[in-house]
Amino acid sequence: MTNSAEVAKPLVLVVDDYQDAREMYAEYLEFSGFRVAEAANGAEALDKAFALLPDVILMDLSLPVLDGWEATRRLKSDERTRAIPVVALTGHALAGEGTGEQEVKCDAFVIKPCLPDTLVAEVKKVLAARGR
Amino acid sequence: MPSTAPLTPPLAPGNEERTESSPAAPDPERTLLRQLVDAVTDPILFTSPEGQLLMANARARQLLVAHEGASEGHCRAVELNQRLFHTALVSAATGGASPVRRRDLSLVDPVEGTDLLFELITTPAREPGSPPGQVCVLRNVTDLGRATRALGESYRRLRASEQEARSERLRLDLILDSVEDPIIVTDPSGATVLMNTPAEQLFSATTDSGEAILRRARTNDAHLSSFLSHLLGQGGARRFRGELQLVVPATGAPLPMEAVASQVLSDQGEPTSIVTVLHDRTEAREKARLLEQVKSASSELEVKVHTATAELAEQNEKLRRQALQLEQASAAKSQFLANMSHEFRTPLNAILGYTSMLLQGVNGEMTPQQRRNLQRIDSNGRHLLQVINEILDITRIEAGRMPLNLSDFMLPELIQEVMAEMDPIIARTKLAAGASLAQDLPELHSDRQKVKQVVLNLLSNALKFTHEGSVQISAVYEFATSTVAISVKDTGIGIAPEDLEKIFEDFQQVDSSPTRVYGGTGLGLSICRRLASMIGGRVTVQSALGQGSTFTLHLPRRMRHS
Repeated sequence: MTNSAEVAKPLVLVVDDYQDAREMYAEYLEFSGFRVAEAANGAEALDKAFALLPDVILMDLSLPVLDGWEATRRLKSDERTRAIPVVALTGHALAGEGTGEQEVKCDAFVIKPCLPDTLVAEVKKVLAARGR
Repeated sequence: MPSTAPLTPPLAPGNEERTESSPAAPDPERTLLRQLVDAVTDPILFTSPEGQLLMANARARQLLVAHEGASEGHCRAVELNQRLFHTALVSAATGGASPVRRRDLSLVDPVEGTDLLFELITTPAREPGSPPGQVCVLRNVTDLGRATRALGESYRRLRASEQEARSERLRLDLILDSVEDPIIVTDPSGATVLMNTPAEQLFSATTDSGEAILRRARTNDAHLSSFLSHLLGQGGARRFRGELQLVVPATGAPLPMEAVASQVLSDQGEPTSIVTVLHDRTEAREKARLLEQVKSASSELEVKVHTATAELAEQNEKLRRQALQLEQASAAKSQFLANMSHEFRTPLNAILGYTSMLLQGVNGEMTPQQRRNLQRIDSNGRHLLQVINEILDITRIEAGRMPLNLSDFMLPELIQEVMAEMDPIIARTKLAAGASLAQDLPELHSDRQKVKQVVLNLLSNALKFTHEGSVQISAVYEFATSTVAISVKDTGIGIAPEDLEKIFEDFQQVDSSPTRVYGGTGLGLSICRRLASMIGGRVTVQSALGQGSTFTLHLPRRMRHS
C-alpha cells in the first residue's frame, strides 16, 4: 500500500546550482506530494535523468559544467528521455529570452523569482497536460 | 559814249595790210621802228580816240586779229578778245584823273586756248604831228596773277593754321589745366616751357606769396630739376620714373609724388622737350597703409580663427571621446544593472520562497506574532522585487532591449484583465473602482503588453494615492486624431502644479524623503512615459492639490513601425 503509494507519486528532478533554491523547491515539492531528485549542474542532470527517468524535470537554464539549454537539448534528442516534460527556470530577464526556447523545446517556461507554490502549480499543469 | 564795234573792219587782214602799206615809199626808219615794235612780246596797239585800231604789233595781232583760213575756234577766240579789249578800253576811258590808265584785262590765247591776264595801260598820244589816239600796251601779268593768287592762298592757309594752332594750344592748355596731376614740359636743357595749373601751384610762387611759400616752391623745383637730370645730357634715359618728396607750398604738408618723365623726340630723333607728369601718392600711400592694416588685422583674425578652430577641433575630439566613454559607460551600466538584477533575484527568490512556505505552514503552525512578522518580511521582499523589476524595465528600454510586439487587439478585454489583476488590491480598499468605456472603441494595432503595463501602473498609482472616493477607468476614441485616450481618474490627494512635471522623472515622488508616507520606487510614471513614447503615444496628467488626479494615456489607433 505504502509502496504503491510511493510509486504513484510523480518523481521530479530539480536541477539548480543554487543549493538554497534547489532544496527549497525540493522541500515544497515533497510537501506537495512529489518524490524529488536533485542535480547541481547539467552533466549531473543528464546522469540522473537517464538513471531515474523522472516524470518531470525542473531545469534552471544557467548552470555550470553544462548549461540548461544544452542539457535540455540532449534530453530531447535522446529516445529514453524525449517524452519527459521540462519546465525551464530562468532569472535572466535581459538575455536569452525567446532565443533558446525556439531551438530547444521546453514544455513550460518560468521566470524567477518564482514562489514555490507557483512552481508546483506549473508542474501540476504540465503533468496534467501530459496525462491527457 | 564810244561806239560799240568800231574795231572789226580796220582789224581785218586786208585793212591791216593796207594800213601797213599805206605809206607810199618804204621808209627805212619806219621799217626799223616796225621791227622794233613787233619784237616786243607784250601786245602794243595804237587806237583812235574812238577806239578804232590803227596799229598793232605782232603779238597784238596774234590775239586780236584772225588770219585768213583760221579755224572756227580761233576766230571765235579772237572775236571774244576784241570784245573784251574794247570793253576794257571803254572803261579805261571813263575813270580817273591821270591820263595814264591801268586796267586788268583777261584774254584768251587763240592758239593755246589758255587764259591770259594782261594789264591794259593806255596812254593818250599827244605828240604834235601824230594822229590823235592812244597807245595801248598790254602787259602780260598772267604769271604775276597766278603768283599773287598763290600768295593769297598761302597767306590764308597760314592764317588758318595759325588760328588752328592757337586754338589747339588753347585746347591743350585747357586739357593740361584740367588734369589734376601736375604736368611740366621742359626743353632739352631742362628749362620750363609749360606748366599746367596744378604744377604752377607746386613750383612757381611770386615774391609776394611770402617767404616760406617761395622757399618751399623753390625746394620743390630743386627736387624736380634733380629728377629731370636723369634725362638730360648724353645717354639720358628716354623715360624715367621716380618718387619726389615734395611739399605743399602753402602749408608745408608732405606731398609724396610719383613722377614719370618722357623725352619727346622730333621726327629726326632729336630731343625736343621733356614731359613730366606727377601723381600724388598720398592717397595711394594711405590706401596702402590701410590695406596693410586690413591685411595685418586679417592675418591676426586668421590666426585667431585658426586657434579657435584648433580649439574647437580639440573640444570636438574631447567631446567625441567623452561621448564614446559615455556610451561605453551607459552600456556598462546597463550590463551591470542586468547582472545586479539577476544577482538580486537569486537570493530574493529564496527569501520570498521560504517566507511563502513558512506562511503556508510547510514547517508547522506559527504563533500569530511569528506570522505577522513573516508577512512583513514577505511584503518588504515583494517591494524589493518590484523595485528590481522596474529598474530592470528602465534598463531594458534604455538599452533598446525591449522590442515592440505589435498586434491587433480590443481595448475592453485588456482593461478587464487589468481590473482583474488589481482586484485583490481594490478589494483591500474601500474605493469604488470601475470602468466606463465608449461604445465605438475601434480595434487597436499596438503593443498590447506595453499598453497593459501602462494602464496597470496608472491604476496602481491611483489606488495607492486615493484614500476615499473612487478610481475610474475610461476610454474614448478621438476620431479627428485617430487616437485612443485611456484615463484613470481618482479622487486622491492630487498634485500641486509645480510638481506636475517632476513626477515623471526617475525615482521621483512628490515626497521623495526617506520618511515618505507612500511606498513605491518612484519609477512607475517614468516607465509609463517611456513605454508610451515607444508606442507613439504620451501620458498626460490633470490634477490639483486635494482635487484628485486624472492620468491619461494617448496612443495612436494604429502604431506605425518606424
